[in-house]
Amino acid sequence: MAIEVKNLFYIYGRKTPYQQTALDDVSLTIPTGSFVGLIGRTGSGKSTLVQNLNALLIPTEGEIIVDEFHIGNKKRKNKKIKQLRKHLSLVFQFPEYQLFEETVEKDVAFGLMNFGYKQNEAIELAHKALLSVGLDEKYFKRSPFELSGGERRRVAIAGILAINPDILVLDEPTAGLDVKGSKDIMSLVKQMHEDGKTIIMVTHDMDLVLRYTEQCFVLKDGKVTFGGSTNQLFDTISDDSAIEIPPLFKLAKKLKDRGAPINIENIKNAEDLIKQVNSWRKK
Amino acid sequence: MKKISVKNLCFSYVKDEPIVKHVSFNIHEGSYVSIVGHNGSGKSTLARLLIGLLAPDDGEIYIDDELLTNKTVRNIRKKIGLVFQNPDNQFIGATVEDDIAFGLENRQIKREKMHEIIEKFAKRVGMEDFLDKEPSRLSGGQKQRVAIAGALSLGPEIIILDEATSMLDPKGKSDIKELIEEMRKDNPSLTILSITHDVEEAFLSDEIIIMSKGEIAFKGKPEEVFSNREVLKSLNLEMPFIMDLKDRLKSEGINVDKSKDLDEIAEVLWPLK
Repeated sequence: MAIEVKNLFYIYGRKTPYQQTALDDVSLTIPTGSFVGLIGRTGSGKSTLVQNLNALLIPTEGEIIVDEFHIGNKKRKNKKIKQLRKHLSLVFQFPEYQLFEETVEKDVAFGLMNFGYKQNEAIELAHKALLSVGLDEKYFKRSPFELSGGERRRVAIAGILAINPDILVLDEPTAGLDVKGSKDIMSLVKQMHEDGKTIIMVTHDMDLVLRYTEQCFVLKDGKVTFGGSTNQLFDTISDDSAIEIPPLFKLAKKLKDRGAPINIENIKNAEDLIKQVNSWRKK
Repeated sequence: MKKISVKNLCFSYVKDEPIVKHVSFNIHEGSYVSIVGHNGSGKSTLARLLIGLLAPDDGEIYIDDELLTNKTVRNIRKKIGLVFQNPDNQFIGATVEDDIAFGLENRQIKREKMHEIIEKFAKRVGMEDFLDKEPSRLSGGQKQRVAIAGALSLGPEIIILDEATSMLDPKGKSDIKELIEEMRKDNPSLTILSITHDVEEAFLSDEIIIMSKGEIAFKGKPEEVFSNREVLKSLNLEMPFIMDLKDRLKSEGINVDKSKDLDEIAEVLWPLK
């Protein structure tokens, strides 16, 4: 298991009039190398959960085990936080807002230097990370502020990739990007998953959840209301729930209801559906 | 009547790298126009030019036939309400009430009158029960509704939404879409200019302007734009799901031209005997 969360509680503003329980007895496990979706409405506790995973927030109660790291509710007992953050890295929503350096390569190298790399080493790794997100030498010396939204997002993600974490948590990686930008970022994420990284993606975009994730967890009012196979989730929820079933999957369900020999577990994208349709049409 | 008229507008941040190239269009009073385009296409720059946050290199912008210049910009801005993408970047007040009041205070509206106005527009966007709440306790959709209330409270003739829904969850998005419809019913002369890359959202507007590489690549009614698949594909814009699926099925030799929705497509794919 890459991540084990046991009876996690998180309360904001504890012992004040503004006290608010954001995570209410959350338990879940995420296997190494999996691609997991984390879904739920705004305010359901998704962001609080991911911030607990790399100890940006300390659990009010309960514990988290991330491979060899342990996070409990006693701040002083949580050791090796820095190594943990190198092992499990967070790409925040709209990460391009955090760019600040005067050149792209310096920005990507910044995180590495915080982790103790020397400048020339850091710059070298930064170049590698930038190339892997599709930004070539022409971009290295440019100011991040001259780039388009999609390019800036890639610079920000390169900053995390350069650290080479084993577990990557992405909060709404495609929000605000156009179709091309989203596709580029997602094929990058897919590549990282194929390279063996564990990916946790927080998103409202159910098409992405269907297309990319194997498993997902649904949070509601700080509780996990579903944990399991993504396709099973869309198969079992009704139309009126807060989660919008992707139209592609709706069509697959309709075909199933009509008695078509469709294997709903295998539908991830339009090609999958058409392949199945073709197989019965040929008969 | 022409509300906004843009003539041969040119702009570049860096010399010889034009972002907006010879753009011209007219927007009529009371219409709802979407400007669609991918990142870097010049959409947001266009919005900044329209409210005079940036000055064009060349070309003219007329609002109600008044040329936008250094001298007229203050007067013209009074007619325009702007809502930005990130709800967190535009909250100024410590409470919802304070936030809506901010613009009114700048206009030196009397206190009693201000209360009245705030209440009216908080109701308009369905946030009247949140007036004493802190912004940090609101969801993204609620924050955007407050931002819209703040913009509406100043009685603008034009509302510009700069990707106002792109950071919201699906419920937040549909709330804002409904609110746009309601605002138009309330005030049929209100002109709405929405900058977006949500195709389903753009589909609701009267007219769509597609920007690509700083130029207008296409302009027309939503049905015209979305029936022109070649244009959409060449501009890297997403087609609404059903149209995309029909296209794919067609290329497999399955004719679903007559199917209007998912049920009718299912009927073709697996007819019940």
